[in-house]
Amino acid sequence: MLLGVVAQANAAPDFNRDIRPLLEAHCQKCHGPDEQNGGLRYDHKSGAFAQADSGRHALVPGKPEESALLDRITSTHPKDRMPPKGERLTTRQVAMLRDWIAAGAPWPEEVVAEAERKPASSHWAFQPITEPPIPEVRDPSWPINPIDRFIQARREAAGLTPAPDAEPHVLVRRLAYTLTGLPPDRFDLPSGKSGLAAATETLLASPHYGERWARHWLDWVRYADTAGDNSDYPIPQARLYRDYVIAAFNDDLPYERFLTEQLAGDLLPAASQEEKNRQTIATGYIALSRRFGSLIERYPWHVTLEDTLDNLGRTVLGLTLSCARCHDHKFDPVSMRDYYGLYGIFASTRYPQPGLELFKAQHHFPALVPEQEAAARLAPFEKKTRRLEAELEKQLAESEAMARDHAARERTDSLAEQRQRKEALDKLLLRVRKAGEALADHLKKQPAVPTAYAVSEGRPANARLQLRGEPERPGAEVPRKFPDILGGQTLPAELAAKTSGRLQLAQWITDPTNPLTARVIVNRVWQRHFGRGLVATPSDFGLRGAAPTHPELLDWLAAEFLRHGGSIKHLHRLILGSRTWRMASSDSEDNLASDPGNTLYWKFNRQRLDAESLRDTLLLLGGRLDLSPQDQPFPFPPMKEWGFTQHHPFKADYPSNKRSIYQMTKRLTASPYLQNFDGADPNACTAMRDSSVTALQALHFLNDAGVHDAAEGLVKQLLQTPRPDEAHLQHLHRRLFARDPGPDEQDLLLQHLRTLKPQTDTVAQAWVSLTRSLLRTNEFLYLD
Amino acid sequence: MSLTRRSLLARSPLLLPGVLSDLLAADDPLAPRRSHTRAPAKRLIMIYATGGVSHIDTFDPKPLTGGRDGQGPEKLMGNVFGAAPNKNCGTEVSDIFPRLRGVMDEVCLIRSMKASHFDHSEATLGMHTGSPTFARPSMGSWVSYGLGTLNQNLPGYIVICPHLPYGGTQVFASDFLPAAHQGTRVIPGDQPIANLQSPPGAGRLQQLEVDLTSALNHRHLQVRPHDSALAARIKSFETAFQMQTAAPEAFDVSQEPESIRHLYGLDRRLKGPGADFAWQCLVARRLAERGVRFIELIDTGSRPNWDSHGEMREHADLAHNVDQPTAALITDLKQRGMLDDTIVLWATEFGRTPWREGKNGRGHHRDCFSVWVAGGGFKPGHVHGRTDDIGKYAEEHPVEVHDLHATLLHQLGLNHEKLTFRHAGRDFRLTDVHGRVMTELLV
Repeated sequence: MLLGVVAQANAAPDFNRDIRPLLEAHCQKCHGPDEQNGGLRYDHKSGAFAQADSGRHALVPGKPEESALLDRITSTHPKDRMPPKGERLTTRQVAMLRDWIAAGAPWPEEVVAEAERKPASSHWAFQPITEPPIPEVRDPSWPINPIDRFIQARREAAGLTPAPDAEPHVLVRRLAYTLTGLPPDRFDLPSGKSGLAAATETLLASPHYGERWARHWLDWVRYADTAGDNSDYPIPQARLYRDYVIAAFNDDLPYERFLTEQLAGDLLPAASQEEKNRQTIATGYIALSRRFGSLIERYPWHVTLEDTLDNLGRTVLGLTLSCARCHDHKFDPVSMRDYYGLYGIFASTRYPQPGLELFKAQHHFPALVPEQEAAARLAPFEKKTRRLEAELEKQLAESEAMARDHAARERTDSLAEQRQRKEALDKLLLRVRKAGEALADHLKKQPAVPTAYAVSEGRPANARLQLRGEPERPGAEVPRKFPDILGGQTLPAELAAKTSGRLQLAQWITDPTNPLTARVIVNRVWQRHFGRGLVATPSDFGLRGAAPTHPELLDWLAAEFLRHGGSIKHLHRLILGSRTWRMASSDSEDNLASDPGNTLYWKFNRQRLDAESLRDTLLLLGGRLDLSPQDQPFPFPPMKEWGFTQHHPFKADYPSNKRSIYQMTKRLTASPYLQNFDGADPNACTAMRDSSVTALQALHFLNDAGVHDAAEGLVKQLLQTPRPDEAHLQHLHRRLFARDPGPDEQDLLLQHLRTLKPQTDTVAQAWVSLTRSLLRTNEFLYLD
Repeated sequence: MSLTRRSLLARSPLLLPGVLSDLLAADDPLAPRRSHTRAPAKRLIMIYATGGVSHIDTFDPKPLTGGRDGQGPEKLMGNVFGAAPNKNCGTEVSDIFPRLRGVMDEVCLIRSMKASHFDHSEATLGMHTGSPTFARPSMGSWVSYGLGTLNQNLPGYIVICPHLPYGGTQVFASDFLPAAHQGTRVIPGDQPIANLQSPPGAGRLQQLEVDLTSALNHRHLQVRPHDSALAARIKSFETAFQMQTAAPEAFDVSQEPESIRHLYGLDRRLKGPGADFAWQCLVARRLAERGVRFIELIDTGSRPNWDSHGEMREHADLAHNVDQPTAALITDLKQRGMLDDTIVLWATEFGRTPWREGKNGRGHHRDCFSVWVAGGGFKPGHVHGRTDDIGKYAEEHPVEVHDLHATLLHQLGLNHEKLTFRHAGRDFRLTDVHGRVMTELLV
C-alpha cells in the first residue's frame, strides 16, 4: 500500500509502458477483438473512447470522475465490479489509470491493435446478389428453362439420373393443390405441349389461388384474429388484413409494393379514400404483433416491439434479430445498436390497443372513413377523450420515470428503502390503472366508426439501448437505422424529427442492393412448391442457418424476380414450368445410395396434404364447402359488452363451411384439428409446416364426423346418376385420385363392395364404407 | 374382436415385413430413445394447482399476524388454518392438507421457489415452458422429445384437464418441437381422447374398412418402398385401431378394486372445482403403468381456482377435493413399487402475499412459494430452502424455475444443456441459458 502511494508521486504514466499492458491483461478478453461487451473495446483508440452501450464513456480525457472505467474497477457491487471475477486491480494500478486519465488519457495514434473485425461479412447471404451464368449441361434435351440447367448441372456432376416426368394425373393433382389448396376439378391436362402452362394460367387466375398463397403469408406473419394477451382479446378488424393479403396475391402486387404497404401504407400517397383504406389496412402486419399481459400500467410494449422485430427479421430478411435485444448477436453480425436502431422506428409508431383485462376497449384504431366524417361522429366525445387520454399519459410517464429511478437506485438502496419505494410506485401504478379504466369506459360509449387494426405515426424519437434487454435500464441513444451489415442507412436528421422512419425502412428493405429480401422470398416460394427450400432454413439465412444447396440458382431466381418487378406469379410460372417440378417422385436405387435426401433434385419430394388442404378437400368432396369468401365480420360480441379477463378469456368459436383460411383463429386456444395436423402457430413465424404422422391423426380418419360426412356426401352425389357399379367406381376414383382404377384395383374394390353389400342395409351404405376406406389411403393424403 | 398387428400383417400378402419395420424405425418421432445418462426416473406425473396456492396456508405455514411487532399496520395474516408436523419427518403442513401431511415423509419439499412473473398466464407458462412471454415448448414436450414413449398405443404426453389453464393450449404445446410431442388433452368424461369412437352406426364395418385401406396402402407402398412416412402412416392406423380399445381401457377406473377406489376417494360425492380430481389421479397411475412418459393433471381451469384474492376459505374447499386423491397417488405408487422410477411433481404458478388483501384474501406473490417432488430419486422427507418469518422472501437457497426444470430432466436421464433443438438459428433448451441441477435434493 505504501509503495502505491509513493508510486503516485512519480511522473504521469506512459500509455505503452503502463496502461496498455493493464488493459490487455484485465479488460480485452471481454472488451477487445473477440467480444465487445457493453459496446466497448480497448484494443483500439476509437473503440475505447466511444460511447458505450450504457450511454456513458469509459474514458473521459482529463476527467477521472466522469470516466466509467474508474467507477467499475473500484466498485464492490457484484454486478458492477470489473473485472467481474478474479483478482481486483491493485490500488497502485487504479491510481495509475486515474493519473493517466487526469493527464488527458494520451493514446498514441499509431497504437491500433488490429483492424476492426467483421466476422460474418464473408458469409454468403450478405454478399450482393449475383447474376450467375446459366450453366451448360451434357444432355440438352432435358432442361426446359434455366432452373433446370442449374439443377441439372449439379446433378450430372454427381452422376445422378433424373426421375421421369410424372404422369398427367399426378401433375394435375400436384398443380391444383400447390396453387389453390383444392383438388383438381379435371382429370387430365389440356392437350398439347403447353397443356401444363395453360392449366397453370387457369389456376393462377382463380380467386382460390390468392386464398392458398395468402395462407402461406399468414403462416409467416403469425396471423390471428385475437391479440394473444392473457385474455386473448378478439380483433374483429383483423380479417381486413387477411383479405388484403388474399387480394394482394390475386392481383400479383409487386413484392416491393406489398412490403412497403405493410410497413408504411399509411404514409403513402393515396388518390382515393378506398386506396387510403387499403394501404392503412396493410399495416395490420405491424399491428398483428403479439400482445402480452393484463395491465395497462407497466404494459410490456418492449416485448410487443420485440415480436415485431423478430417477425420482420425472420419473415422478410431471414435473420434472427432477437438475440441482439440483450447483447450483440453471438453468431450473426447484428449488434445491439443495429437492433435498437430498428426498435426506435417501431417505438415511434403508434400501435392500436386491442383491449386488455384492465383496459377492455379498443384504442388508436385508424378510421376507415374520411377524417372529417370520423371527427363529426366522435365530436360530442372528443373533449373528454382528449382529457382522459392526457391524464393516462401523464400518469404513465410519471410511473415509468419512477420505475427507471428505482432501477437506478436498486444497487444502493437498503431493503427498507426499496420497500418504501415499491409502495410509492404501487400507489402510482394504481392511479394509472384507474386512469386507464376511466378512458376505456368512456371509449366503450363512443359510437362505432369503421376502423382498421393498423398502425399510425407516434412520437418520433430515437430509442436508447436497453441494457440486458430491460427497458428500465436505458443505455446509449442510437439513431434509427438499418443494420450495418445490410447497408447501415440512417434516418436523415431532418426526417428523424418528423417521422417514425417506417417509409425509409421499407425503402432500405426493398432496396435491390439489399442481399436478403429477394433471396428470402424466392426461397420461401420454392419451399412451398418443393417442400424444402434451396436454403433449408427459410427464416434463417444467418451463420447458423443452412447453406443453399444451389447458391447460383438462388441468385438467378432472386435476380430474375427483381427483373420482373417482384412478380410472385412470374416466379410460379418459372418454377411450375420447369422440368424439375415436373419430375415423378419415384425412387432409383443408385440415386438413393448417393443422395438419399434428394438434395440434388433427382426426383420430386412426395408431400402430405397440409391441414387446410385436407379439410377443404373433405368438405368439397362431401358437397359442403362454401367457396365464397368470408366478407362479413365474425359474430364477435360488441365492444360495449367486452369483459374478457384471464380468468374468463375470449374463447368462442365461429365455425363455418367456408375455406380454412376464413376460420377464426385464436392465439391462446389452438384448434385441436390444426394442432393434430401440424397447422401454423399463430404466435410465431411458421417457416415450414411439419408433415407428422401420428396415431391421433389416424383416429381422426377413422372416426371424425368430418371424414364420415365427406364419404356420405360424396356417395349421395355419386348415386344420383344411375350407372353400373364399374362406372360409379370410376367416377369415385377420379374424384379422389384424379385417375381411373387399374384393372386389378377395380377387381379388388368391386369384390370388396360385394363383401360389404350383404352387411349393410342399403347399397349406399356399402358405397359409403368403401369411400371411407379410400379417403384413408396414403394415395389420397399424399401428393406424388 | 380386435385386430392385432400380427393378423393385419398376415392379411397383407403384399407387405414385405422386414422392409416395413426398417422404415418405421427410421421415422417414428415417438420411438423410445436412450437417455443421456442412467437415471432413476422413467416418467413424470405433474400435478398443477391452478391460480397460485398460498404457501403460507399450506406447505410453509407462518404464524405471524398483524405486523412484525404482532399488531402493526402491515396487515400481516398468518396461516389461517392451523398446522402440524408430519410424525416421521417433522415437515409442517397446514390442516387443509391432512392426508398430504401424512405422506410428507415421501416428499422433497422446496419452500424457496421463485416465480418467473407476478401474473397468472405468464407464470403458468413460465412453470411449464421456462418462458413467461414468448411461446416455447412445454416441459412434457421436451421429455417426450428426449425420451420417446414406451407405449405406442397411447400418446407420450397426456394432459388431463377438465378446463383450460391460464395461457390456454400454449401451456402444453410442442411449439417448434415436432407436433407428435404436444400434450394430448384429456377431458374427464365419455370421450377422454377425441375420435376414440366411431359416429353412431359407423363402427360396425370398421374392420373391413381398415383391411381394405391397409391392402390399398400396401399396394401403394410396394411401388414406393423407400418412403418411411408412408410406412409410418400404415402403422399409425394399426396403432389407432388399438388405441380405440387400449385408451378407453386405460381410462376405465371401474376396473379398479373397491379398496383402491376408496383410497383415492372416488366414492366421495364432491362438488365444485377439483371434484374430478380423484378420477384424474387414479387415471394418472393407470397411464403411468401403461408407459405414458409425461402425465399432467391440471386441477381446475382459469377459474374458479386457488386464486383467493378475497377469501382464504376457498383454499380449504379446494383442498378438501384434492388432498385425498393426491396423497393416495403417492401411497399407491409406493405400494406398487413405482415411486422409485416415477417423479410426482406438485407445482403452482406463484405463492400468495403475507399480507391481507380484500376481506380475507391474499394477492399474488412471486418472491417465494412452495412446490414439492416425490419419488424418482428425490430425497424423501426433505425440506429445501427457507423463507423469512412472514413468508415474503426466500432466505436460503432460492430456486429458479430453470433450476427445477434442470433437476427434473436430470432425474429422467436428460442433461438440460444437451437436450436441444435447432430452431431459427439457435439451439433452444427448456432451461434457455440458465438452470442448475440441484444435486442436494437427490438421494
